[in-house]
Amino acid sequence: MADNPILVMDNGASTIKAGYAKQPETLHVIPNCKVTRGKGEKTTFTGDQLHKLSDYAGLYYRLPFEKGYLTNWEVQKSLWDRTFSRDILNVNPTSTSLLITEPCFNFPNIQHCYDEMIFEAYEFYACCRVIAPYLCGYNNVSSLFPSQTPSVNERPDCILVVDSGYSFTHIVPIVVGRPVLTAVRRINIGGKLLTNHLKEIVSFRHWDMMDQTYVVNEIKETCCYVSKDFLGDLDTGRRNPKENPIVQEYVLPDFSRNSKGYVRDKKRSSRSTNDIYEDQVLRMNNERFTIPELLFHPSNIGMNQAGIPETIVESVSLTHSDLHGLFYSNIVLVGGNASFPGYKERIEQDLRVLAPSEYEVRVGMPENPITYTWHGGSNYAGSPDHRNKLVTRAEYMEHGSNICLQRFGMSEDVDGMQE
Amino acid sequence: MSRKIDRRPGGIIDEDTRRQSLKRRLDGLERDNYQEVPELELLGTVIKPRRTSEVGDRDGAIANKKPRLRSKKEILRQLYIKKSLKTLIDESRVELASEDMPTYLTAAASPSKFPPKKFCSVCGFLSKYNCKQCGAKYCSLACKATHTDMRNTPVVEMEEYRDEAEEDDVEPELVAGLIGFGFV
Repeated sequence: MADNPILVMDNGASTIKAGYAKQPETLHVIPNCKVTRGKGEKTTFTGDQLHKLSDYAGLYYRLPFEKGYLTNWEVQKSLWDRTFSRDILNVNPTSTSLLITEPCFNFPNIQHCYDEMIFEAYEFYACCRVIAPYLCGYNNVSSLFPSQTPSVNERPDCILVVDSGYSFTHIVPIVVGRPVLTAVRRINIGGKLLTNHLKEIVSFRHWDMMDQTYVVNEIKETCCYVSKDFLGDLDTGRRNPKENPIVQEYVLPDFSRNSKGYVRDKKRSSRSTNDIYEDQVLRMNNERFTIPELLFHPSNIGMNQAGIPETIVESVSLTHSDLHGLFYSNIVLVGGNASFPGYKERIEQDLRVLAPSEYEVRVGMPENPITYTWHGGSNYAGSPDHRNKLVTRAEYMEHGSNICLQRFGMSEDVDGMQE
Repeated sequence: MSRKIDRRPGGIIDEDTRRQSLKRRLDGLERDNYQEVPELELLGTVIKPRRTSEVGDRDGAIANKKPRLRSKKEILRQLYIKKSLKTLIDESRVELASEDMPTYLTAAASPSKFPPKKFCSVCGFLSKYNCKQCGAKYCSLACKATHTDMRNTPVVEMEEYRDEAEEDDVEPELVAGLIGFGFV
């Protein structure tokens, strides 16, 4: 068993993070989508082929995930085929052990499809399927909190993982490597919703960009930030645009002269009028911080859920009262939305107000919040915990999906952890 | 269906319709593409799924059985039957799980303890006023004018939406007219 290479695949709704365990140089981050140009063109670009495009206007997306759960296996298979192909990872499934992530509270009928696909269609030698936040805890989490005196233990006993991804945000408390499932909470806001919301706002106020998902996503990643003083920034936004620090002028790509949009220097814009080409400019004002603000106040668009800091408090309050302090002082932020500038500081700031004053609030964020789970998975692979959960193809053919439900499930782990 | 919507300009949109248009707006934010193009959805399909009547056993109690020996083609054919998440949730019967078992449904975050802020549906800054017909917020006379200019279209569209929604559970196309009007 130990001879087989272990493939770690964090199968996210936005990107697949795949590579061989203990070999970070093999890690690939591949967009989990197929795109077509539409309008009569039939060429499909799968996963990493997206990067080969030079014109990102009006792409038609096909995604395997719907609201965070895998529903389109046809698209997913072609993306996995591409990932396992010689061009990328050159995987030979029959001699490879797969460690794959799934969303929290995946549905049994969808899990059954995972098993069928992995064992029957691909015929992997063995497989282990876990939820993504579980793997985060296998990193050197203590190193994220530098203020602390060097800890003996790389992994604190209690960790609160805040995984804000493409489809939704999960708050997952983990006690000695086991998720407390009864205290896991989900906010239905993720990167996709933010991009779509920005798309609608921009299309209403400025240019019609409803078909330009790719471009709008780039605008979001370039311009948006999490405000530390939301009301103050709103006031600033009302001021004269010329000397307003918030207003940015984003030059949209036209895919002939520039294939990538960029933020234009405001001082230069006035004298460049003699340029024969006029740049198409999108002025970003309050859009820059009201979009990420949805993570903190979903009620801003009428969604009846609390934001991240309040939900952290809700989640912690559902665990055993002796552990509350430990959770508040070991919060780990992962997922693509953590890349917004100011995200960590804002969570720290809001949480300090909401959490009981006797607890210390410490928030840590890895250098790369997107691949952190994969690195955790890479450490996890081959550990005794991993070996206990592993199901081989032979066992699957003998016992069916049942054995996967038993081994991969975490429900028995929570006994006695909640109040 | 018996409920009447005042079509006249100046007619007030009732609470129910407002809620529905909000729900629709939120659903719209989960779209992969602005418009669905069915022919592109099928692009690259190698194996055409059989009619569902032939493969109806997919969601039965297979989990307890040994996997039958099937050809790979047959397995893929079954896996490729596209079901929406809503159907899958219904089929998984999570709502029947015992109360102390955490599931997708129990994990949703609770509502906030703080009152929602109000934003102008036109410019996005804080707003003080409500449109008395549809409840959309606006912050100034200029924004009100923009809002009034474009308001009549969505009333009709929303009515159509409701009729459709009542007839069957099919999710209708997002209508361009509604975007940004902030029926929140």
